[in-house]
Amino acid sequence: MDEREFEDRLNRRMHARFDSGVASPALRDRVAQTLRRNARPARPVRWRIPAAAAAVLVAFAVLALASGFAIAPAVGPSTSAAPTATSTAGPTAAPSATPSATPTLAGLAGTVPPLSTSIWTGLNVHALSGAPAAISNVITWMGGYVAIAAVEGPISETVWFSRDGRSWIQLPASTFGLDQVEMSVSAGAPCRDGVIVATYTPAGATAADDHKLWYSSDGTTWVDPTIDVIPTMLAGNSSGAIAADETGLRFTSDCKTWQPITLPGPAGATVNAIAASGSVFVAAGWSGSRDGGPAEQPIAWWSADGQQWTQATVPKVTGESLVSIDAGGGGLVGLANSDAVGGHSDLWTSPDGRTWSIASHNVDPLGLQSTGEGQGSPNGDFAGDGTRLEVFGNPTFAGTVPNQIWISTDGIHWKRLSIAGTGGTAAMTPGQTSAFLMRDGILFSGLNGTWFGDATP
Amino acid sequence: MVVDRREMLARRIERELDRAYRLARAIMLDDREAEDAVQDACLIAWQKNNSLRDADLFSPWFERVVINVCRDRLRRRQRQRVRALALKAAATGDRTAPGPVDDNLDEALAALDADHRAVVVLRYWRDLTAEEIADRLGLPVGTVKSRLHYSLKKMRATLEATDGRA
Repeated sequence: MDEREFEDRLNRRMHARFDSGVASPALRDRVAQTLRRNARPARPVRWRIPAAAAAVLVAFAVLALASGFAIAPAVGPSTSAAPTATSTAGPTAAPSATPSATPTLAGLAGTVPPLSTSIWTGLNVHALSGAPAAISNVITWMGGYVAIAAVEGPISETVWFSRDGRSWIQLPASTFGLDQVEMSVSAGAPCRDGVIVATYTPAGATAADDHKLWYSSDGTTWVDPTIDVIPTMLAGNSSGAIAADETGLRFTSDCKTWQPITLPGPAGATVNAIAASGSVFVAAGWSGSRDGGPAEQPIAWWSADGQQWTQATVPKVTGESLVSIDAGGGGLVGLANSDAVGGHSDLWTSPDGRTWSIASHNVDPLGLQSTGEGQGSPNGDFAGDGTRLEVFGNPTFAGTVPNQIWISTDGIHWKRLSIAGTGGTAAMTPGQTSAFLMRDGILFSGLNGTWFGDATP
Repeated sequence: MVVDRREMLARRIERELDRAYRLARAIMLDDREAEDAVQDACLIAWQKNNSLRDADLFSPWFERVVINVCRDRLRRRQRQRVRALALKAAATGDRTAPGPVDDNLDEALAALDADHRAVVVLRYWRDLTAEEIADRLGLPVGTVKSRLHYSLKKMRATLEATDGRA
């Protein structure tokens, strides 16, 4: 079957599968209720005439009745059981929604600790009070930490600031416009002595309005300079930052103005992953695979300054490319997935980003999980801060033993950390927490709380 | 004036519901998830319609909102899976869906990430051109073509394997 024939068949199958179907009465009812509940705006910016809310409600009720929209109170179990518009099925529906408040930095304890360069052997884990639960992302920069936490309610994410990773304050709900419906944070990174964060909303006036890139020098006051790229990946260091999506790579030296980067090598290469250590920026992806052209090949680049890029030497593994890169002080580690062999992954390492090879052990300390189809995955999540690398997870797929955390500087030699302290058991419960690499320890967070593991030499 | 505008908006949302639901179902591959996505999209359209400068463009704008909500929900699901926080089981084809069951097609679509799946649905179900998809999603045409090419290659491998087993 040639390409055209396959496309025609796919077209017919898609229509056969999805042409039929109508919104159920229950959905119509839910929508009507949703609009009615939100007839009075929560945020005045969306309304030109505040007094119009009641009139709108009446008008909508009339319209709904006339047009068959069910606007009456929920009748029957299907509507009463239906989730609300702002409910988020699944784990983002986390602990408690935290009220917005102006941050009081004076009440924030702690100072930015120096980056620990000692060899860690263990963690002394204790629960944090006043810290957000269900942290989904921590962005580390020289001024401290910014954390994104999931909450349940009309605002699905909240932003927190900390100097030491132990004492946290919540930033106002309007930070990044997260009080707008379905706004969320997609990436973050250090940039020079400040920090940048990319956010996303599904409903801008134009497609370009959907994404913003924010900058802060202190972690609490943010500006959103214009960027003509939709950054799904960010990485930075003291020289600046790079932003990437499938359309290409951008670099900024001042964290506000961005310049497009022309990467050497085959045209049309796609960037899948980026990273930065103190001395190098790296990017990786794939090229080729056009009809009649060369088969898909991995490709990678490196740059010392973010502006002049050189193609790196990579393993010749057709159909495989890096999907994530993390940087330690003594090297980088990358996870490569195969598009040619279902469920196959390799672990790549590089001392400097200039030459990559498949790791001789070709497995992270927790093992690579082959799924047999699609993409393989590591049993642990990698992270790197340019000084050390961390992998956190469970060596058993079913999570029958406590989680483990391993540390490395080069991605080749790994050491498992011993766990002690009153919070150790809870923090290492399989499937319950995420781990974030901090300057002087590890932050654990899950639906049930947040813990800090002080690194012990 | 405001009342009139809101009346029109409610009417437009109602008119778009069936198509929005089918679009969301094709992307989410799950009836319940599709309904949740459409409900979210309706709320966004209701609250954010002031950002739509040309009322005649409501239909493509609302479709973009539906797509973005679906992509956002899929991304969150993926991120949550990676982060291993109390996971919700991955969605699968729902037997109550009105369309004929095509497990192999669902499986091939499910193997694509949110961005690639949305492009495939717009091309092969909504029958939009690459240029129209680029305009709808705010992407360069080259990116749309690249995603289509990658998606087709992956779907073909999946479908040939699964159809062959049947």
